[in-house]
Amino acid sequence: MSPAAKQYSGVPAWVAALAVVGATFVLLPLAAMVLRVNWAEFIPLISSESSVAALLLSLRTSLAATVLCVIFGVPMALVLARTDFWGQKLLRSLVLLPLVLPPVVGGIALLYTFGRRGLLGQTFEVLGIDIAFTTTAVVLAQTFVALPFLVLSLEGALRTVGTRYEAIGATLGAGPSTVLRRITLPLVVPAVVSGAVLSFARALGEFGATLTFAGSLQGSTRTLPLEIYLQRETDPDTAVALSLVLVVVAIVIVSLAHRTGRPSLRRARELS
Amino acid sequence: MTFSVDLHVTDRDVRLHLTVAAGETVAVLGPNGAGKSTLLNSIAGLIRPDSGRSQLGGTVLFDLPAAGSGRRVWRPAHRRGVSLLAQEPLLFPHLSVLDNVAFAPRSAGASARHARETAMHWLRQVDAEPLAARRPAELSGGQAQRIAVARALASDPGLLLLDEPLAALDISVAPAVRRMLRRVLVDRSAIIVTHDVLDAYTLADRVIIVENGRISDEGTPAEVFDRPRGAFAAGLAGLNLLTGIRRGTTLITADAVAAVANLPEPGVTEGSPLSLAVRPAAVAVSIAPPTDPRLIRLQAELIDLEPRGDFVRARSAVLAADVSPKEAAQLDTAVGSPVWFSFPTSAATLYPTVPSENSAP
Amino acid sequence: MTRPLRALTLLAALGILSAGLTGCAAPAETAPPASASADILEGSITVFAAASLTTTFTELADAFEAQHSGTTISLNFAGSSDLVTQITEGAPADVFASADTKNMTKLTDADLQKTDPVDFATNALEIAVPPGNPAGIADFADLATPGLKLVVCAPEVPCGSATVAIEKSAGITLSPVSEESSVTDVLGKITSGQADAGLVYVTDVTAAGDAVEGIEFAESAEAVNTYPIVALKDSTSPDVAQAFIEYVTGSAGQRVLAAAGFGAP
Repeated sequence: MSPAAKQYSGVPAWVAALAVVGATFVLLPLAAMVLRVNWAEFIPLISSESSVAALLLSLRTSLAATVLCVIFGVPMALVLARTDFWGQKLLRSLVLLPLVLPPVVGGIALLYTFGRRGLLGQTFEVLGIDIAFTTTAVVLAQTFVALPFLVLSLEGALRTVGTRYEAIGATLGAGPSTVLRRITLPLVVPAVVSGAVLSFARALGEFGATLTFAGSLQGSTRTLPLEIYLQRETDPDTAVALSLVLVVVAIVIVSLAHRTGRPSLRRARELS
Repeated sequence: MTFSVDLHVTDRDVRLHLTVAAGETVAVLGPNGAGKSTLLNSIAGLIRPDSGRSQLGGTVLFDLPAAGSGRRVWRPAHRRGVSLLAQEPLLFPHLSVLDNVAFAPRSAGASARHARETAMHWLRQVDAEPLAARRPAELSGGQAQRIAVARALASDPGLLLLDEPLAALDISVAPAVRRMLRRVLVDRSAIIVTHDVLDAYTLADRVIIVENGRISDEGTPAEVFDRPRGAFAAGLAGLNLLTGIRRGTTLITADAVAAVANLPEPGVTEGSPLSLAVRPAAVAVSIAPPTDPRLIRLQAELIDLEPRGDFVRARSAVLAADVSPKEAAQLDTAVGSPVWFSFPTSAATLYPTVPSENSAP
Repeated sequence: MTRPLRALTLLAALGILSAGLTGCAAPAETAPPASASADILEGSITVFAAASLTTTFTELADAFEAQHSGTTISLNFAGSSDLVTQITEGAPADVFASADTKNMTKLTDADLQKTDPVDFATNALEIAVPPGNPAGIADFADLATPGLKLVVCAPEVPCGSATVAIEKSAGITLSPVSEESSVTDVLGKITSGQADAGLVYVTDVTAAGDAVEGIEFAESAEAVNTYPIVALKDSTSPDVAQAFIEYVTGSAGQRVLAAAGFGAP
């Protein structure tokens, strides 16, 4: 539906003015950063061995974290949206906590869980599994902070879709697993995709928990944000160039999520 | 397959018992909130009543003894052989029409090919074969509901539940869908919840009226609507219903607001409860007493005059009459005063009042 | 994003320091007549100091203000390179105390100094291990033990470049499991027990108190960091700035710095 050329718009001029200030506040720093990019050296800066290693590591770990988010986040969202049990509200708030938690706190929490002297870390050490300072630790940190994004967006979509289709499916003889596979999941695919994209973006940007929990070593734990933070100390040009790379990746991801998000909205409107 | 259900939901004060004989279609009518949806959803397995028992053929759908005594049986929805058709078609938006209809056979384990053959068969039954390749979003309301019927039938249900299947349809397409339903419901055990007397007459072998969580009337459509036992059924049938005690040629209504004079001689003994049903269209209204002594008459305050298209409904607390706009104009000054309502005996149905066994107060 | 952690260790360090402070503060208060000019000193200055000077300079500024009631000292702590960037971009500063000569040179190259920089402290690396030294580290060579979880600073930051310098002179190649971007992050890995050993400054070990144990090693002499301080050209209170620098380089200042683990210049 394209709106008519001259539709009534109820936005007062002063609201529009404040909106412009707000938008400028967000966009100006980005522009300022772009202005600082050393374009002559841009390609060599972002293609240095350490930069490439950091970028590849970031992509690899974020992808792994996203897969973990989908594997565990989809069931979590289903349980939160479709079942009713004592303490569910509290559980939801706790599960979504990493959304509002400073990442470094997440890192400390992970440290006391999976660290060498942590709750599970000691057991893992006995089993010969060493998580400290490994890429696994990075993926764990990223999954920890990214999981709520998927759970939240999917739970919302599940609630919007409602249970009426599922109920009809059941009366047509489909068992719970068939209903999940053939009705529920197809209906929320757009939400799963946009949730996964958001999780990926969050994992890509993860810094605090990784720094606290996983350490920083080229090729195994030093992701792009950590590399930027380090390069800032001595080589601001590299830091700015890599920041720009991260911004571009983020923009691509946001637009992807926006695009896949729209059909889910449309579908939700059809259903209601 | 014979079906029976006993249902008890405490917090909604629902207590219902009904049976459906093999091949019988039962229409359930009642005001909103009377417990009809609770009934259907309990049978379908979507909500769990507090106690009760239901059986379809040899299969126990649920057996929930009161006070937790004995073994509780709750058969999940997908293993009941009961299919539910809702007011809205609720076609799965991500599947084609054919795959929607093939959903139940697929879920039952049929091969993709066999399931599609079954689906095509049912699409033909509802005159929707050409729509097979479409997406639900590309269908009109009437088309979608046809597909929903085909989808429900394709599951080969032992009992088909229809929850106001025509209510959401455009008035122009409802008759065609109703005819289609009439065809496919022949020899099929079904319960149809509706607000429409026409549905009951067209589709049902038997009618059940549910009011306040209880069955207030039951019988063939003609029994229930020609001689209504309660105000709800009378309202659905479009009849005035007067109930009271017979005193000579007079009917004293229960609240003694009005008396009907000039009753003919029906087979009701003096002092016994009597019901009188009459169409509003047959009732005349006059400011002066009617001159024809053969007319049944009563005097009551004219509450208001309500235009209804090409006629006007003149209402009193006990009786309504449909009069022409011209007559209404003459009555206009009489609103708020007593007027005479009269009708010929031939227009009235008189019958002994039979209080329903578990009738609501 | 490391702020909260940094703040935590800082708080802990402050707590430890305040316990030992009474011994230091007492002589400072009983000997004020040393400077007669104190009474006429007036004005406010802003001191930009390296993050590793947070506790010592806070203490020194308080003592200085107590001695010269007409003065106010605002402190701004950050990494030395950040501070130089801020000053060259026009941040209002009167005094700059750097954690290394390299960053001070950046400032003097921009010709922003009022006088020549003065060295006021040195800092050397020390091995930090968790309490009880579970890996049994005794000297620098032990850090190369295979399987040992060693955490160091990345070469890009000062403590990391010092580490590289020591490796070179000692002819020992370390294979750390992590190269952190700050001393705080190295210490964090030690205090949490994630790592067996780390290389940080003596002052960091002192500040961390009981949370870590420090092990001195001879090779540390190969990479001693010198801390220079300078008054800036654009200072609005040059007298106060100069007096503060003299206070830091004077006996009272040196006593506080030494207590925190700094070496003499």
